[in-house]
Amino acid sequence: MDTYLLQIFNGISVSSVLLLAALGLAITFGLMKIINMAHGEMIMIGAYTTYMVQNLFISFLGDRYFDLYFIAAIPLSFLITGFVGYLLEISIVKRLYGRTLDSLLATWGISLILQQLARNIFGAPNVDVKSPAWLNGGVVVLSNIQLPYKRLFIILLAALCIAGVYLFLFKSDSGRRIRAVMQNRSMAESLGINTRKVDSMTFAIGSGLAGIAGCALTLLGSIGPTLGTNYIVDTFMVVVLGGVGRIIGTVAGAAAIGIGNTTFEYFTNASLGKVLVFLAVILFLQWKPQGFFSISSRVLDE
Amino acid sequence: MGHTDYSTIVNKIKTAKPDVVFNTLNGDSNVAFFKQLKDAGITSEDITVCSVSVAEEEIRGIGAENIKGHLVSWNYYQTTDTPENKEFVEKYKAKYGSDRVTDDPIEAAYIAVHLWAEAVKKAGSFEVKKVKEASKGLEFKAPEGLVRIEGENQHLWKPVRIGEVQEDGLIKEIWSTSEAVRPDPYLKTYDWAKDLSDQ
Repeated sequence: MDTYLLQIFNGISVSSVLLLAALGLAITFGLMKIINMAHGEMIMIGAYTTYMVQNLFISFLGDRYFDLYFIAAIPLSFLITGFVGYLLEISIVKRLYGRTLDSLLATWGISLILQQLARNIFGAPNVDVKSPAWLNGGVVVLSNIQLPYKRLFIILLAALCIAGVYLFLFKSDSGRRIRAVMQNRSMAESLGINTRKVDSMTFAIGSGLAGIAGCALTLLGSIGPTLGTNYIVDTFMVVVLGGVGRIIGTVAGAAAIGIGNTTFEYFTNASLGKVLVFLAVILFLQWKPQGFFSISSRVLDE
Repeated sequence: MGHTDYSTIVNKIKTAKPDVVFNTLNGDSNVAFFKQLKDAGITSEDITVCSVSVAEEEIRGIGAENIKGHLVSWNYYQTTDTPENKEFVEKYKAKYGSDRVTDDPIEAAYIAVHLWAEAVKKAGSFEVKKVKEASKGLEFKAPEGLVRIEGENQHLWKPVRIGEVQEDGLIKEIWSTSEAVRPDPYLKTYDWAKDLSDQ
């Protein structure tokens, strides 16, 4: 019984990790229609930013404030990765709107360049990010069930990010402009919205969210140049399954794949579990190619 | 490789309550595995993990605090006590920086180049066939101890070591064979593998 309860928690936890990793992609791919293969590398940049922040805290502030580094790392990962995303948008991605297949190749190239850059700067082996002490250990619920603080923290962070993105897109002026441009670019332009500015900002925000994911992932996994490649397939699957262009779809997609993964994996093994999840997703998309949620649109070519 | 979430496997380990876990994971999957094993409240005192692909270099990525006390199996550790190794570690650190560590794969590459050079010298030629012939039975005083090329299958005689990961990220040898072990790549000398090696 304990095992099943813990398995349910694991499912939620894996879902939250996927959600966090896919949220940025839901914006750059989902809203902007850029097949952003460099999304994984944005996650990697976030992770390396966390590593740098940790090292700066060790060098300049000493042990006393070490535990606070993670609090500083989250917004810094967002800002730095967002800035890298901004640079990419104004230099390369802006030429790729409406050219979906070209965007796939170009961003894949970017991803390889960024990986090699990380290798040159930080070296090929993984680096170690020490988790802050307040995230070690876990809540003991029943004698046999321990819920790690790290995973609880990631669930909380994912929830906060979703809430933040929702509020931003639906309640703020900038968010309204983003939605206007993504839904009908020429109409938005005629109404005096600077679409260039909105595009760069949207891409930067999507990248920044990937940076937060990278920061959170340092708690669970490895930090190396190829960190992003571990997540890129899963994140695309989440966005496509959920329904491209819908944030709520990303939440549903992450939950379905996360819980599916842990459940199949529990009754079979890690490799077969993954195969079964892929199979289920493919079958589902045959039946409903739009994913869980689709946008009702009057535009004919969608 | 590349698997990133071990919560289910850790949960299975918890349910099975084994005495020891034999870990054949490779590469950065090990980082995720050990971090998540520790988060689930399992340390080396509860269940010992014996890994075959975690060396000093990988421990730096995993974080020594996450893997200390667990066992690993190799032919060489940075702490291996031979005069050749003392020199090797010193030279390595002088070239690549004092914060770097040596490990088994690094040492294996070092041995390979030296053995090849010896074989070329002996053969007096770069021709693959001649070098191959000359390499049979060749010996080299490596940092891990004396190694020899087996003439029959060109694998290496090597000492075998089991070590325990220390807090500083280095590995302390806790068991070793007294001398190099004859290579048996086709499992011919094992009773349990009799059906596998029908040749």
